Amino acid sequence: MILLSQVEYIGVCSRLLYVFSRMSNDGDVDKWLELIKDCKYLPETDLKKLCTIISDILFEESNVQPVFSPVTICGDVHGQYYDVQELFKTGGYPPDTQYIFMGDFVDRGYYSLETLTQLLVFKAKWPHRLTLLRGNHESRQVTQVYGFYDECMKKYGNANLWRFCCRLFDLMPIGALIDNTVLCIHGGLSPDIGTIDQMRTIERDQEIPHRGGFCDLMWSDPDDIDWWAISPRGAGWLFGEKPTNQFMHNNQLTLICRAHQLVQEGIKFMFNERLVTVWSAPNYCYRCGNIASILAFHTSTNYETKLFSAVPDEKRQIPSKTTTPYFL
Amino acid sequence: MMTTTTATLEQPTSTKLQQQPVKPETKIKDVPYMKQWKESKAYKEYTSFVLSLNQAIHGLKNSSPVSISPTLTKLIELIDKLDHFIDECPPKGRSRFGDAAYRDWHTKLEQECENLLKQTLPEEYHSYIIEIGPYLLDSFGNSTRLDYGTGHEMAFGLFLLCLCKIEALKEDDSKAIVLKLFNRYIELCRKLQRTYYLEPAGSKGQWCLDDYQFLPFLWGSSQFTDQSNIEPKQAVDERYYKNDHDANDYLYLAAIKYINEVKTGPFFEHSSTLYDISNVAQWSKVNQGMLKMYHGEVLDKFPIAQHILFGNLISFDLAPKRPPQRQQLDSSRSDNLFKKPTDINIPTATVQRHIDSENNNQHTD
Repeated sequence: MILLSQVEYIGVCSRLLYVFSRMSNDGDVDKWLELIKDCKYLPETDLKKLCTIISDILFEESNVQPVFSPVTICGDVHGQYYDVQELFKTGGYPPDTQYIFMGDFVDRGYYSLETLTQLLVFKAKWPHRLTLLRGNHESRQVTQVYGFYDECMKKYGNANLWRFCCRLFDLMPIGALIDNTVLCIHGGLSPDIGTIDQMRTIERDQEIPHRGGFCDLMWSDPDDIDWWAISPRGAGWLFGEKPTNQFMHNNQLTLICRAHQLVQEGIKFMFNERLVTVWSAPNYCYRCGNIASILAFHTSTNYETKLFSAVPDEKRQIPSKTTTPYFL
Repeated sequence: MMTTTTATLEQPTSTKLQQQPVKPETKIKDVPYMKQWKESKAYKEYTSFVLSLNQAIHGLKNSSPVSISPTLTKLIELIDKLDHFIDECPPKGRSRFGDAAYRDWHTKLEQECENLLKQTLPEEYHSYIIEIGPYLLDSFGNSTRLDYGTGHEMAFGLFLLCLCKIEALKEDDSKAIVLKLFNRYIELCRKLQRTYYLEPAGSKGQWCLDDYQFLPFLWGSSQFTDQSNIEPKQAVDERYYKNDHDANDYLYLAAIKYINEVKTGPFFEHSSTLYDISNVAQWSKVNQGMLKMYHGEVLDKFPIAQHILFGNLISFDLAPKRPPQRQQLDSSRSDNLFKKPTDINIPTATVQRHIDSENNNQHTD
């Protein structure tokens, strides 16, 4: 008979608990992987469990998460579930392809919940093959205006899951750094943030503030100006070529990848190809008629644009009609 | 059917002392002011106004013969003139949302607003232009953000309410206000949206009715109530909305037709709320739902309400709790709206905290 000291006993138990929880998680995750293939969302308890699993993973990630090529960069997807399937067909499915999504998973499209769930399930299955950055829509305030809140209310009948997801958004990294030379961030630069080290000191676990460095990183846009200008969005800044060059020089960067702005052609290089906007939501808001892109980095200097278009109507399932509460 | 709704407007009891028109301004600076807004005279009066117009057009087509006063005809001509401004401000080519040429159009509107209103209204109302003009200026979108939404549509509703309150429009105009004037206004707004690619302001997309408008659905569902030719489920059927004869005659169908012109992808995805509403059995139920939803999604939303302008006509004062005479809104009568304003007490030193609310104007991608 093996005799264990109390400390050893607790150690063995907690180890066994961990192994069992991983095993049971694995079972759940595999089950969810099957479910989300058909544009489904998870039952309430399952999504809560998934959120807990992802929270544990995100806790361990840095504000500026280091990533190594080869990796494929994606811009806004905005709840366009069917188009995200097209994205994966274009770029390859994880774990074979490694991805960085630069935020704005939710709002605008009809399937924010299904889209977010799919990305979270992939993340749970292959934590190191997907990096999910925060965008300006991963926020309580914005999701209440632009649809995700209403979608959760409609699909779950309460706001609990929306709250869970918002807690998760708070934990998402602000940026990613590919091979130490390519910075990926949702919006752009901030006059308050001169170095990547400064980004690393941000207390990111919070709702995106209305102003200041963190807000700017989520909201700013590049523009054909010299330095800085007030943004018509009411948050963040317009930044020109000079601050971009300065920031890149100070941080020894070769490229800044960002999303946040619709580009009709799917991708747009600016500032002598030192900054790129990647847009991954084709036919944005069901009206813009734009194409979408992803950017595949073979190495940090060798990258390839892949374009894709919106999925045709006949390949989408028609949901059953429900009654909006106002009309009961 | 709105037969049980009661109006809570105060009948003018005091001596009819005409108030000095003032330049209206925003009052709802922060979320806590929403309570005061919901209890204000403006809120009560605007709600009654929307209801009485809803009632007035019950079962009528846009082409139904209705009485049109000379002022109303002139207001339609005013919209025609604004439409011609578009020809003078051709699109410049957009980058993101919004074409900068819209700013030229809006500048023309700002420059011409006073003159146009002078040409439109009989001289006795000219002193009110300083108070009424800003509502018209707000009715067609925001020139800084290059967007348009239900808040701008509401500004036009308040503009109409002002005209009724000073009696420039009379009760007899009720039907034509919606079927002719508002219909023409919506046509212009659609042209502006398409020409200048205006961004939907604060739109929930498919989780609300429509990116831009609300009232065409609300009043439009009243047009269908108690007329059995077209059922709710047929309104989203292209055999009906694509029929120009029907689309020209019904605000609701024209709105569905417009959505299908500007949006691609499946209707059940990009307009899921309208898709679900098509499942409601009766138009009276749709109409009731629209009224509830107008409160829930437009009037009671801070991001929209923060832009509302208040003056003496659209008053931020507290509405009287117990109206001296409760009146049933069971007919198109709402004569208390068509009265020149009586003396109103201006609230004493309302403290307005200027806190940062800019985030509610944020434009997102």
